[in-house]
Amino acid sequence: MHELSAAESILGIILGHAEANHAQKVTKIRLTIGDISGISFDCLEHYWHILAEGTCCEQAEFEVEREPAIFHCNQCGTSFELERSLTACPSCAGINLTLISGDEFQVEDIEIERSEVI
Amino acid sequence: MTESRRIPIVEKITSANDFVAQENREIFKQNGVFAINIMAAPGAGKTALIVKTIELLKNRLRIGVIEGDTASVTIDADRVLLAGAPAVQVTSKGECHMDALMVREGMKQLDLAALDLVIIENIGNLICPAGWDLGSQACALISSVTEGDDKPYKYPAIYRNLDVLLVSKTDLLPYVDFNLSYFQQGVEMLNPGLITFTTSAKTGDGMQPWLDWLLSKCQGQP
Repeated sequence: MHELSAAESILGIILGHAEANHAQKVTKIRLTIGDISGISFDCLEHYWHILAEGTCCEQAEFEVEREPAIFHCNQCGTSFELERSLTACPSCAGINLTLISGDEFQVEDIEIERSEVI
Repeated sequence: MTESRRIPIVEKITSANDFVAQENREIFKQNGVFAINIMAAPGAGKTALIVKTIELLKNRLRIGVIEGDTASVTIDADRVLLAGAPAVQVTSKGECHMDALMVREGMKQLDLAALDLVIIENIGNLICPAGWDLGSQACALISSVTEGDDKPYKYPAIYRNLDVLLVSKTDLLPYVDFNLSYFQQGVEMLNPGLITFTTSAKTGDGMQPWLDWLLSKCQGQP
């Protein structure tokens, strides 16, 4: 799995924003992970703890929003969620589909603590 | 006193990689090179297909290969060199996919200005390479008939961003239960109208349409 490089990328993104905002500490990290993005959060978190140790992010909590994989049927207009396996449209059996969500993998925002600017 | 504050970010986690990938694409373009990222499961016949492609096209195109490997085993690169194309190997040090920086390392070792086509042989894996743009102009997947016809249903993500699909080892079709129409229906759901070639690198069957496609791409056709 590629969670190690994903965790490195997240750390890079967050340290950049933390520094630009003069953060002393990052307390929360919000991520969106789509169901077919191929990312296992448990695995990601494992690498994260190793990488973030000693940085201003080491005590940050994660808040993860999962995005279900939703297909839109271009034949009849039905939207349906991909559950176990890829299937044709449950309403009309059409296979002309567009994925409308489920491959997201991004950092939404972070919460930081910093010295109050007077 | 400390204050708490929320900092909006909204950034794709692969953004740093995507930036390097975009630069790679520019470099390929400036050198008049068409680059293709070839992905597949281990054992799908990536190297065999690349070697056959080189043998059949080396009099018409100047081809270079960037071999991605998890360890510094040069078996694949040696086979490509034997076929008559310059090959450079980059290792991912155990990582399961190539990224744009690895490709950049390979690009530095090739004389791009003297090439028409660069084939990037990705690391054998059907999950991880899908999310990493390498900066090639096209992405291909090789799906061998011995892997089974259910792969689009089980690994949907990798089929979504492809420009071309090669069904390989078709010489083995009489010996395996591979239902091509079931396979293609899954592909169609994920990537409607995807260009698909059914090939055998062993017998050469079905290679010509793939070679024609590569030639047209190297001549700058959309």
